[in-house]
Amino acid sequence: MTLPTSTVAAILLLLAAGSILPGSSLADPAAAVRQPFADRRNPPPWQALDAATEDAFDLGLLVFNTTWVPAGTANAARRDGIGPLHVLGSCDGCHNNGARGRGEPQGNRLPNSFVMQLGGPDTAYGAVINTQALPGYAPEGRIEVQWTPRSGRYPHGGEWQVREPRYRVVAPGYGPLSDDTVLRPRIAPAVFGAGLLQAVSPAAVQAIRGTQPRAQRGEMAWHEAEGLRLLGRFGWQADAVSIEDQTARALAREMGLTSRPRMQDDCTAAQWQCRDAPPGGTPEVSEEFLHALVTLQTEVAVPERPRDAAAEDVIGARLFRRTGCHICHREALPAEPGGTPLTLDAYTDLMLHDLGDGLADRTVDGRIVRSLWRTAPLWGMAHTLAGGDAAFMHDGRARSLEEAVLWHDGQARSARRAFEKLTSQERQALLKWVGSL
Amino acid sequence: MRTRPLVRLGVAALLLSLGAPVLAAQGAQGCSAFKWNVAHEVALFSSEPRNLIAGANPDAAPSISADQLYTLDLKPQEGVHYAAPASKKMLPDGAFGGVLHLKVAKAGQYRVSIDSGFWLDVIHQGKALPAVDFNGSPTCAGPRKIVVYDLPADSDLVLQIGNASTAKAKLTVTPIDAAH
Repeated sequence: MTLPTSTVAAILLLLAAGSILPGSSLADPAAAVRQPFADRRNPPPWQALDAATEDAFDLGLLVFNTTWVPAGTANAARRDGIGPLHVLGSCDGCHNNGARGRGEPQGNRLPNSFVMQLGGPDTAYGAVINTQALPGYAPEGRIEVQWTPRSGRYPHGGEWQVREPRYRVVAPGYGPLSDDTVLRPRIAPAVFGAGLLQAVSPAAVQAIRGTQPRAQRGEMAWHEAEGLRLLGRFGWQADAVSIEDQTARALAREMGLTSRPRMQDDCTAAQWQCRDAPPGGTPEVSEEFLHALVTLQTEVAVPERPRDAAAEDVIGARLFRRTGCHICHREALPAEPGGTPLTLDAYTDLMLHDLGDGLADRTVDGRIVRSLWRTAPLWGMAHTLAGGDAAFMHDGRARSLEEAVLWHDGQARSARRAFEKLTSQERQALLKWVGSL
Repeated sequence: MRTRPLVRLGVAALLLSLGAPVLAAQGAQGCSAFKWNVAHEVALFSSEPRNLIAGANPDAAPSISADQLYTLDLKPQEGVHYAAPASKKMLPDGAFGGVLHLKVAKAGQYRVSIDSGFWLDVIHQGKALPAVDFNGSPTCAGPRKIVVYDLPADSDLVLQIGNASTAKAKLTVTPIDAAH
């Protein structure tokens, strides 16, 4: 069969614009970074690795899974130095098998993968409320949540329900928190595909921004570091500029482990007994281990889509576009890992958006703080859902994709309203498709 | 930082004395933070344990039964030979481990509960059984971690403990139906 010249030109134009539908049997460079996760506990790399990188990747997985122990533990010099104040003892404890943290769908419990970060003027507690402490040290407090159900009806019938959280720090171990302190509840995101997102150039993000309507236009998360202007792209608010930055930050704040980029953990001046605690080395995480952790996250693949997902693509992708979800959750993100051009089906624009007051962080006394959120990548969604107890949005409040969509407001209000106006059948088709990504 | 040993010792003692009831209270609340009802396991962890020395290999491993609390003596992990590799790879530095035999009369879901975050695997016919679910409560003294397995009846199962940071561990196995 010979295609008319106009058809060929149209296809080429679509490809050049990066707007070819995902899952198409036409050129699908995105598929290259997807791999089957035959064993969830042993995520594969997205590309063939040379021997040295493979060794670092394997070591990275060991370090990622390892529970760190108190400084001075016999025969454990490579993995000692946890805390004394910490949230959990291993990377895997929060990012279980490298995946997004699971939720606690029932009751008022918070999952192990939850952390309460702090913002604002308080200096006694540092960046995180460390809920665990080694014997002899006082933990910084406990976090409690109260859920309030909210419900409504779709225009075409059917009810929806979400649950709204209110957080508080209970039994603060180092004095009361200031009313102005910002509570920043966060659940652990997945690490899959981090290296690929790191390979998206700021120019590519800028180009996407240029295509977004003014009302939905994202903000690029620029940060100044060591005299350089770097694009933040990791973390719920894109406040980390690289995998190494994000890794060192988490080691220091949530595990109390120093590493070369962060030689101070989250002990504050007010916590002198924590600061005086014997270290597990200087730094506690060796350069070899830090390099291995970064290599693991740089090379780890994105879980492949279910084999039958392509059948859902036509309707689901069309609805995704019709509702405007695609304006921020970009279906084609150009990247150049190692200089190789790829198109990532990450479904993010790596930019910050205001999603309204409902999702915004609050101060201790309940005032809303305007919050900007990095568009969460949707790739690997099928893998996430298969893990059970899904927990979406920045604090895991949404127990389903439907709840997650319903929390979108602010710059995403029009997309949410378009979703609400779909028929029940269309909503299910769209959610099923997103759940297959 | 400059050290002030006597002052620090005094304040540390004060903190410890003040901290004891606080930690105890957190322990009680921590156990209620499990996502399941763990009253049965908490009660077992308050019972008199049986002392056992975990095996360094399956041939030398003792057998355990359900609904009994055990205090296990573990061995340096470098000297432990498991029936199958641990299902999660971790650094073994300074870790302790051991091997036990387990057989249940009735097939079904069982909770393996332990008083620390050590790694657990149940090996059946040379392969690690997939965990059905797990939950942990770092503030609960006993149990602290629970893993749920679907266990076959009347099969020789090998329970492997690894990456323990101490040479002792308390452990129970309970059928789900006994736990409400």
